[in-house]
Amino acid sequence: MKTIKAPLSIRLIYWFTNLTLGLLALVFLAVIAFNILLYTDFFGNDMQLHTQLPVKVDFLETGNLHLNDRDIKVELVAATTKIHFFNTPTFITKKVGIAMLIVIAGISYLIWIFRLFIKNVKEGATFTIKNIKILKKLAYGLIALWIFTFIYMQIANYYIAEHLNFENIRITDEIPDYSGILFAALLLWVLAHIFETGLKLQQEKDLTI
Amino acid sequence: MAVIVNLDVMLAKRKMSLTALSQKVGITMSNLSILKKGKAKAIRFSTLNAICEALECQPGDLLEFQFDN
Repeated sequence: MKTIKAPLSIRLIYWFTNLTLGLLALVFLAVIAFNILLYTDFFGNDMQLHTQLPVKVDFLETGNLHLNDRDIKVELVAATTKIHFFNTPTFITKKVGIAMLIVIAGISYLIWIFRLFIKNVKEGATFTIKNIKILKKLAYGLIALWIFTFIYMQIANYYIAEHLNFENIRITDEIPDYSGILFAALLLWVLAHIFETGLKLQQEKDLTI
Repeated sequence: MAVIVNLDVMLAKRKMSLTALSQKVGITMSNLSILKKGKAKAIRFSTLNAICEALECQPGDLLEFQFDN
Protein backbone atom coordinates (compact mmCIF):
# COMPACT_ATOMS: atom_id res chain seq x y z
CA MET A 1 0.00 0.00 0.00
CA LYS A 2 1.32 3.43 -0.95
CA THR A 3 1.81 5.62 2.09
CA ILE A 4 1.28 9.36 1.77
CA LYS A 5 3.62 11.59 3.76
CA ALA A 6 1.72 13.75 6.23
CA PRO A 7 1.83 17.56 5.73
CA LEU A 8 4.61 19.46 7.48
CA SER A 9 2.14 21.16 9.85
CA ILE A 10 0.85 17.80 11.13
CA ARG A 11 4.39 16.45 11.54
CA LEU A 12 5.39 19.62 13.41
CA ILE A 13 2.35 19.42 15.73
CA TYR A 14 3.14 15.72 16.37
CA TRP A 15 6.76 16.54 17.18
CA PHE A 16 5.76 19.45 19.43
CA THR A 17 3.13 17.30 21.21
CA ASN A 18 5.76 14.61 21.89
CA LEU A 19 8.11 17.24 23.30
CA THR A 20 5.36 18.75 25.49
CA LEU A 21 4.36 15.30 26.73
CA GLY A 22 7.97 14.49 27.63
CA LEU A 23 8.35 17.75 29.54
CA LEU A 24 5.01 17.24 31.29
CA ALA A 25 6.08 13.75 32.36
CA LEU A 26 9.13 15.32 34.02
CA VAL A 27 6.96 17.99 35.68
CA PHE A 28 4.54 15.28 36.85
CA LEU A 29 7.39 13.32 38.46
CA ALA A 30 8.64 16.53 40.08
CA VAL A 31 5.16 17.27 41.46
CA ILE A 32 4.89 13.71 42.86
CA ALA A 33 8.27 14.16 44.55
CA PHE A 34 7.13 17.56 45.87
CA ASN A 35 3.96 16.00 47.32
CA ILE A 36 5.91 13.16 48.95
CA LEU A 37 8.23 15.73 50.58
CA LEU A 38 5.20 17.76 51.68
CA TYR A 39 3.51 14.79 53.31
CA THR A 40 6.72 13.67 55.03
CA ASP A 41 6.93 17.18 56.48
CA PHE A 42 10.26 17.85 54.79
CA PHE A 43 9.61 21.57 54.36
CA GLY A 44 7.88 22.18 57.70
CA ASN A 45 6.45 25.69 57.80
CA ASP A 46 9.40 27.26 55.99
CA MET A 47 8.03 26.81 52.51
CA GLN A 48 8.30 29.90 50.28
CA LEU A 49 5.19 29.59 48.15
CA HIS A 50 4.17 31.70 45.18
CA THR A 51 0.59 31.07 44.18
CA GLN A 52 -1.77 32.72 41.74
CA LEU A 53 -4.25 34.94 43.52
CA PRO A 54 -7.67 33.73 42.40
CA VAL A 55 -9.13 37.24 42.23
CA LYS A 56 -8.18 40.53 40.64
CA VAL A 57 -6.88 43.38 42.75
CA ASP A 58 -7.81 47.04 42.46
CA PHE A 59 -5.19 49.61 43.19
CA LEU A 60 -4.18 53.05 42.07
CA GLU A 61 -0.66 53.64 40.84
CA THR A 62 0.24 56.53 38.56
CA GLY A 63 2.88 56.09 35.92
CA ASN A 64 4.26 57.35 32.68
CA LEU A 65 3.79 55.86 29.22
CA HIS A 66 6.42 56.95 26.71
CA LEU A 67 5.00 56.61 23.20
CA ASN A 68 5.89 58.43 19.94
CA ASP A 69 8.19 60.81 21.83
CA ARG A 70 5.36 61.83 24.11
CA ASP A 71 4.82 61.25 27.79
CA ILE A 72 1.32 60.10 28.63
CA LYS A 73 0.20 60.02 32.24
CA VAL A 74 -1.53 56.73 33.10
CA GLU A 75 -2.91 54.94 36.11
CA LEU A 76 -2.65 51.24 36.84
CA VAL A 77 -6.02 50.20 38.23
CA ALA A 78 -6.52 46.45 38.21
CA ALA A 79 -4.35 43.39 37.86
CA THR A 80 -4.17 39.64 38.37
CA THR A 81 -1.32 38.86 40.66
CA LYS A 82 0.54 36.25 42.67
CA ILE A 83 0.76 35.95 46.40
CA HIS A 84 3.96 35.09 48.22
CA PHE A 85 3.84 33.29 51.57
CA PHE A 86 6.96 33.73 53.65
CA ASN A 87 6.30 30.75 55.87
CA THR A 88 3.54 28.78 54.31
CA PRO A 89 1.46 26.69 56.72
CA THR A 90 1.44 23.01 55.70
CA PHE A 91 -2.36 22.89 55.36
CA ILE A 92 -2.06 25.39 52.49
CA THR A 93 0.97 23.78 50.79
CA LYS A 94 -0.70 20.36 50.94
CA LYS A 95 -3.82 21.69 49.21
CA VAL A 96 -1.73 23.48 46.57
CA GLY A 97 0.39 20.34 46.08
CA ILE A 98 -2.61 18.10 45.53
CA ALA A 99 -4.25 20.62 43.18
CA MET A 100 -1.00 20.83 41.18
CA LEU A 101 -0.89 17.02 40.96
CA ILE A 102 -4.49 16.79 39.73
CA VAL A 103 -4.09 19.58 37.16
CA ILE A 104 -0.75 18.26 35.81
CA ALA A 105 -2.16 14.70 35.65
CA GLY A 106 -5.27 15.96 33.84
CA ILE A 107 -3.31 18.05 31.34
CA SER A 108 -0.84 15.16 30.74
CA TYR A 109 -3.71 12.77 30.04
CA LEU A 110 -5.34 15.21 27.63
CA ILE A 111 -2.07 15.81 25.78
CA TRP A 112 -1.44 12.05 25.67
CA ILE A 113 -4.79 11.38 23.98
CA PHE A 114 -4.27 14.40 21.69
CA ARG A 115 -0.96 12.77 20.69
CA LEU A 116 -2.87 9.59 19.76
CA PHE A 117 -5.20 11.70 17.59
CA ILE A 118 -2.37 13.53 15.80
CA LYS A 119 -0.52 10.21 15.33
CA ASN A 120 -3.61 8.75 13.61
CA VAL A 121 -3.95 11.85 11.39
CA LYS A 122 -0.23 11.71 10.58
CA GLU A 123 -0.60 8.09 9.49
CA GLY A 124 -3.55 8.98 7.24
CA ALA A 125 -6.31 7.47 9.41
CA THR A 126 -8.20 10.75 9.79
CA PHE A 127 -11.92 9.94 9.68
CA THR A 128 -12.14 6.99 12.05
CA ILE A 129 -14.37 6.06 15.00
CA LYS A 130 -11.22 6.05 17.15
CA ASN A 131 -10.51 9.70 16.31
CA ILE A 132 -14.12 10.73 16.97
CA LYS A 133 -13.95 9.07 20.41
CA ILE A 134 -10.62 10.81 21.11
CA LEU A 135 -12.04 14.23 20.17
CA LYS A 136 -15.10 13.70 22.40
CA LYS A 137 -12.86 12.49 25.23
CA LEU A 138 -10.74 15.64 24.83
CA ALA A 139 -13.84 17.85 24.93
CA TYR A 140 -15.23 16.15 28.07
CA GLY A 141 -11.76 16.17 29.63
CA LEU A 142 -11.42 19.90 29.09
CA ILE A 143 -14.85 20.45 30.65
CA ALA A 144 -13.78 18.36 33.67
CA LEU A 145 -10.56 20.37 33.93
CA TRP A 146 -12.54 23.61 33.75
CA ILE A 147 -14.93 22.43 36.51
CA PHE A 148 -11.99 21.43 38.71
CA THR A 149 -10.21 24.76 38.11
CA PHE A 150 -13.40 26.68 38.83
CA ILE A 151 -14.03 24.82 42.11
CA TYR A 152 -10.37 25.18 43.08
CA MET A 153 -10.53 28.92 42.45
CA GLN A 154 -13.64 29.22 44.62
CA ILE A 155 -11.94 27.34 47.46
CA ALA A 156 -8.73 29.37 47.05
CA ASN A 157 -10.85 32.51 47.02
CA TYR A 158 -12.52 31.45 50.28
CA TYR A 159 -9.28 30.49 51.99
CA ILE A 160 -7.03 33.28 50.78
CA ALA A 161 -8.69 36.21 49.04
CA GLU A 162 -11.62 36.55 51.46
CA HIS A 163 -9.24 36.89 54.36
CA LEU A 164 -6.62 39.03 52.66
CA ASN A 165 -6.05 42.58 53.85
CA PHE A 166 -3.75 45.19 52.35
CA GLU A 167 -3.68 48.86 53.09
CA ASN A 168 -3.74 50.42 49.61
CA ILE A 169 -5.03 47.53 47.55
CA ARG A 170 -8.62 46.41 47.27
CA ILE A 171 -9.32 42.76 46.55
CA THR A 172 -12.15 42.54 44.04
CA ASP A 173 -14.60 39.65 43.73
CA GLU A 174 -13.72 39.23 40.06
CA ILE A 175 -12.69 35.58 39.75
CA PRO A 176 -11.22 34.55 36.38
CA ASP A 177 -13.71 32.20 34.70
CA TYR A 178 -11.24 30.50 32.29
CA SER A 179 -13.93 30.54 29.62
CA GLY A 180 -11.22 29.85 27.01
CA ILE A 181 -11.06 26.24 28.23
CA LEU A 182 -14.82 25.87 27.81
CA PHE A 183 -14.66 27.43 24.34
CA ALA A 184 -11.88 25.01 23.32
CA ALA A 185 -13.99 22.08 24.64
CA LEU A 186 -16.97 23.29 22.60
CA LEU A 187 -14.83 23.58 19.46
CA LEU A 188 -13.51 20.03 19.94
CA TRP A 189 -17.02 18.71 20.49
CA VAL A 190 -18.17 20.38 17.25
CA LEU A 191 -15.08 19.00 15.50
CA ALA A 192 -16.02 15.49 16.70
CA HIS A 193 -19.41 15.89 15.01
CA ILE A 194 -17.75 17.16 11.82
CA PHE A 195 -15.54 14.06 11.93
CA GLU A 196 -18.67 11.89 12.28
CA THR A 197 -19.96 13.36 9.00
CA GLY A 198 -16.49 12.91 7.51
CA LEU A 199 -16.51 9.25 8.55
CA LYS A 200 -19.89 8.69 6.84
CA LEU A 201 -18.57 10.31 3.63
CA GLN A 202 -15.36 8.29 3.86
CA GLN A 203 -17.28 5.02 4.26
CA GLU A 204 -19.50 5.94 1.32
CA LYS A 205 -16.42 6.74 -0.78
CA ASP A 206 -14.74 3.47 0.25
CA LEU A 207 -17.84 1.49 -0.74
CA THR A 208 -18.20 3.18 -4.11
CA ILE A 209 -16.70 0.86 -6.67
CA MET B 1 -36.78 -3.54 -1.84
CA ALA B 2 -33.21 -3.72 -2.99
CA VAL B 3 -30.97 -3.62 -5.97
CA ILE B 4 -28.91 -6.79 -6.07
CA VAL B 5 -25.72 -7.42 -8.00
CA ASN B 6 -25.59 -10.57 -10.12
CA LEU B 7 -21.87 -10.44 -10.77
CA ASP B 8 -21.32 -14.03 -9.59
CA VAL B 9 -24.05 -15.26 -11.98
CA MET B 10 -22.47 -13.44 -14.92
CA LEU B 11 -19.01 -14.70 -13.99
CA ALA B 12 -20.33 -18.26 -13.92
CA LYS B 13 -22.07 -17.78 -17.28
CA ARG B 14 -18.87 -16.45 -18.85
CA LYS B 15 -16.78 -19.08 -17.01
CA MET B 16 -14.51 -16.34 -15.74
CA SER B 17 -12.86 -16.09 -12.33
CA LEU B 18 -12.94 -12.97 -10.18
CA THR B 19 -9.14 -12.74 -10.49
CA ALA B 20 -9.36 -12.76 -14.30
CA LEU B 21 -12.05 -10.07 -14.24
CA SER B 22 -9.97 -8.02 -11.82
CA GLN B 23 -6.99 -8.14 -14.18
CA LYS B 24 -9.17 -7.39 -17.21
CA VAL B 25 -10.96 -4.33 -15.79
CA GLY B 26 -8.19 -3.04 -13.50
CA ILE B 27 -10.29 -3.07 -10.33
CA THR B 28 -8.81 -4.58 -7.17
CA MET B 29 -10.01 -7.99 -5.97
CA SER B 30 -11.22 -6.51 -2.70
CA ASN B 31 -13.39 -3.95 -4.52
CA LEU B 32 -14.83 -6.61 -6.84
CA SER B 33 -15.49 -8.78 -3.81
CA ILE B 34 -17.41 -5.91 -2.16
CA LEU B 35 -19.46 -5.57 -5.35
CA LYS B 36 -20.07 -9.32 -5.62
CA LYS B 37 -21.24 -9.62 -2.01
CA GLY B 38 -23.64 -6.69 -2.49
CA LYS B 39 -21.92 -4.56 0.14
CA ALA B 40 -21.18 -1.67 -2.24
CA LYS B 41 -23.05 1.59 -1.66
CA ALA B 42 -22.60 2.91 -5.20
CA ILE B 43 -21.10 1.96 -8.53
CA ARG B 44 -19.41 4.35 -10.92
CA PHE B 45 -20.49 4.41 -14.59
CA SER B 46 -16.85 3.84 -15.54
CA THR B 47 -16.74 0.65 -13.43
CA LEU B 48 -20.05 -0.58 -14.86
CA ASN B 49 -18.77 0.21 -18.32
CA ALA B 50 -15.55 -1.76 -17.79
CA ILE B 51 -17.33 -4.79 -16.30
CA CYS B 52 -19.98 -4.86 -19.06
CA GLU B 53 -17.20 -4.68 -21.64
CA ALA B 54 -15.20 -7.47 -19.99
CA LEU B 55 -18.22 -9.76 -19.50
CA GLU B 56 -19.88 -8.76 -22.79
CA CYS B 57 -23.19 -8.06 -21.10
CA GLN B 58 -25.70 -5.27 -20.38
CA PRO B 59 -25.94 -3.34 -17.05
CA GLY B 60 -29.31 -5.05 -16.60
CA ASP B 61 -27.59 -8.43 -16.60
CA LEU B 62 -25.49 -7.32 -13.62
CA LEU B 63 -28.08 -5.36 -11.63
CA GLU B 64 -31.53 -6.52 -10.63
CA PHE B 65 -34.25 -4.85 -8.57
CA GLN B 66 -36.09 -7.14 -6.15
CA PHE B 67 -39.27 -6.35 -4.20
CA ASP B 68 -39.59 -7.50 -0.59
CA ASN B 69 -41.95 -10.41 -0.10
